[in-house]
Amino acid sequence: MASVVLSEAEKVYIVHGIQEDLRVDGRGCEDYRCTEVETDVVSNTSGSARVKLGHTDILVGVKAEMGTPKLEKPDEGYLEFFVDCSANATPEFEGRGGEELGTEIVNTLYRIFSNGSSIDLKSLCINPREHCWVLYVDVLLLECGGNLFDAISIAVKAALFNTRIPKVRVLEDDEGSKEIELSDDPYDCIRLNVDNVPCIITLSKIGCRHVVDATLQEEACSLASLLLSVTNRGTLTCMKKLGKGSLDPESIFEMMETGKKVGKTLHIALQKTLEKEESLGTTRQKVGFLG
Amino acid sequence: MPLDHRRVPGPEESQAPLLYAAPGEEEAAPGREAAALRPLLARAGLLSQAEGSAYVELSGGTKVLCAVRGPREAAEGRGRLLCEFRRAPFSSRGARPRPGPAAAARERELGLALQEALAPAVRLARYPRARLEVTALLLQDGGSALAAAISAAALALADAGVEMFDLVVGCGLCRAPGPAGAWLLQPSEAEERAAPARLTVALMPGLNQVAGLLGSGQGGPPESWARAVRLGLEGCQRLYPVLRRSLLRAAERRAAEGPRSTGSSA
Amino acid sequence: MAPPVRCCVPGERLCSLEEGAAGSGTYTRHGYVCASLAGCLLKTSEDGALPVVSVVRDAESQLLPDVGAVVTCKVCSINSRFAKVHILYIGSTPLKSTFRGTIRREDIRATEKDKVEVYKSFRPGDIVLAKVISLGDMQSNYLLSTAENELGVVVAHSEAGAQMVPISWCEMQCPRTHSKELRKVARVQPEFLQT
Repeated sequence: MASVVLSEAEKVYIVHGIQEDLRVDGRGCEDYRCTEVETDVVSNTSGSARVKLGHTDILVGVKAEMGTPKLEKPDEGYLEFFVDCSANATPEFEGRGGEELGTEIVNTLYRIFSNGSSIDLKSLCINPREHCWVLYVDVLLLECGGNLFDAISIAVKAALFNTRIPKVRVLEDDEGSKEIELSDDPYDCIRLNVDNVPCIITLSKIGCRHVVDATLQEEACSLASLLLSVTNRGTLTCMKKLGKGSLDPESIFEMMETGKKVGKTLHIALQKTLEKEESLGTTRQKVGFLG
Repeated sequence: MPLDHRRVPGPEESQAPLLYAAPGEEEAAPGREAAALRPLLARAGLLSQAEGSAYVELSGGTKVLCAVRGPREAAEGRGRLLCEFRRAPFSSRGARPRPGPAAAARERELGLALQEALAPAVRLARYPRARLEVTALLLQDGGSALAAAISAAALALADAGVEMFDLVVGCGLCRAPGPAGAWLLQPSEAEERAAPARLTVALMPGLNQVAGLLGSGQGGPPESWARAVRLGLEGCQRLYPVLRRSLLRAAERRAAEGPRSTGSSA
Repeated sequence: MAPPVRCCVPGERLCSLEEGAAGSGTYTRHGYVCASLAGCLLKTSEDGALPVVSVVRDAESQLLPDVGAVVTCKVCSINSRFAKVHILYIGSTPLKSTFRGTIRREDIRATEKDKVEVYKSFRPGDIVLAKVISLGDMQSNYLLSTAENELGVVVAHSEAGAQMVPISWCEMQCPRTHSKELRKVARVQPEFLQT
């Protein structure tokens, strides 16, 4: 992970501030930084989104391709995740530096999406055992400013919301051979229901309290954090301890409650933003990367 | 892929037999008490070539062998704890898994989870410029494999004489299927496969600190997960005496062997 | 018969800080001395002072070279600026795996540092006693020094292959050919001479 060097005095300053529910940038312990979400930013994808959370900048592209379903789930499509920790984000990622972090992010994403409830994988099936849609979700880290996991999960959700998969029909002739026909109308497409896609909330333990959306400086002060994936109904679908330190049991229970509360608000805000952006349609002014 | 000439080449296309199995064939596991623990066998100090080693077996078929090598000279400056988790090719049910990036990624994830659970317990500051290598080999997967590997790795580290703040005890849990399924301690492989949610907790029993936590699935609201964590921590506390005893036995064995071997050389 | 020894495992509380001081193999936490090794408990009390509680293992646990430790090493290569060595022993304990170290030119002798030349002090294959002066940074490895009378070459072989005998603080002689070679010779302390 990208790291900053902090002196003991700086650490003490941050820890004492958090004790008083006041963080270096003026937030409270349960506040997110200002988040910008923009969908449909890259034209060559089926769906894309860019999320800027403070100094963390994530771009996600989704490409839908046709493939064969997995043997054990013949009537479902599937998702594939790739994370690119480019050296743009931080110099430490140069060469193989980002590999470990990349693996960790990919594994976490698989863990969240592997249970059937987050996305209706059956809707990705074209005909059982033969054809299905495979969604390749590529995550690009453009800038690392702390709290990568949360930003990535927001970006993935937004990109999946934005994804449009062309409609296809399976035609069967008399001899039983099948043919796949693509719809002529480019606007004739299926959308994914992303209501149940969870968002990741990472709670970092600093001193005796925990904070959401930690900046790089705050991450340097925290020895252990708890990663939770929270659905819009407040249920948890994944939990994981990150970092070198340990947590005491009581604080885990507190963190879970906070995660649920924060997660619910985050989902409502994200849904509202996505819908508002959608309603603007083509009249929306695109911000892009220089905005 | 290069062709292996020593093997009889099978047909190019094949289907898993599971495809043809009628659904719902497997009988439901007999009802059991949620908080029941599977008998655990632990032995420390059994490999001669490693600095420390441990073997943990859960009755019902989970077998993990763990070895610790080091401290060795590290390539880079600070002390490092490196964990590797390997599954024997015949460890799991069904077809032999194909070695490939997917299998390697799964093993790496478990290795990272192992590392995260052990890191709080090891006094790495005492090992500047050195590297500790932990290798867990899963011989047979009968459920709760990661939890068994965590316990075995902690035993092996202690057996190697690595300075630690505390032992680490792992405990697996899974949720029984159904809308209001109860959490079961130390599930078997069949229970784990059918479960909508799984969780592994690792506890440092002396300090009462949670060293590792990894779970996913439809476990429901935070209250339900909290129940699971509590149950898991309780399970860890109950497993601790067994692990402690095995370590003491290994220490006593060493103490008994030690003077004799030096005596003969003198 | 010795009284039965108490064995302990890492994390076990041994006693409170009022009852004993933390020795090796232990750490303190919340006013208690806790074990950090699996082994036997040992209490040594000096009269008047608090007993020191430590945990010992019978199998010599792996030591690591620490600053100030006297180590035995073998020179593996030299150049004009430094000698590269492999650390083989710490004190009298053999290491299970070797660690690499460096003796810089200015750390070879305590006096006339600017006149020291590496090739007049060490040759590859020499067994050298040295002291660890730093753990080094990210790039370099252990830094060692021989700038004491007791430190330096203890065993060296001549070009003819015979083990040489020290004849002065900077010379060794081959018993077979009687040729002299330059070395930073250690004055070996009597307690190290056991054979």
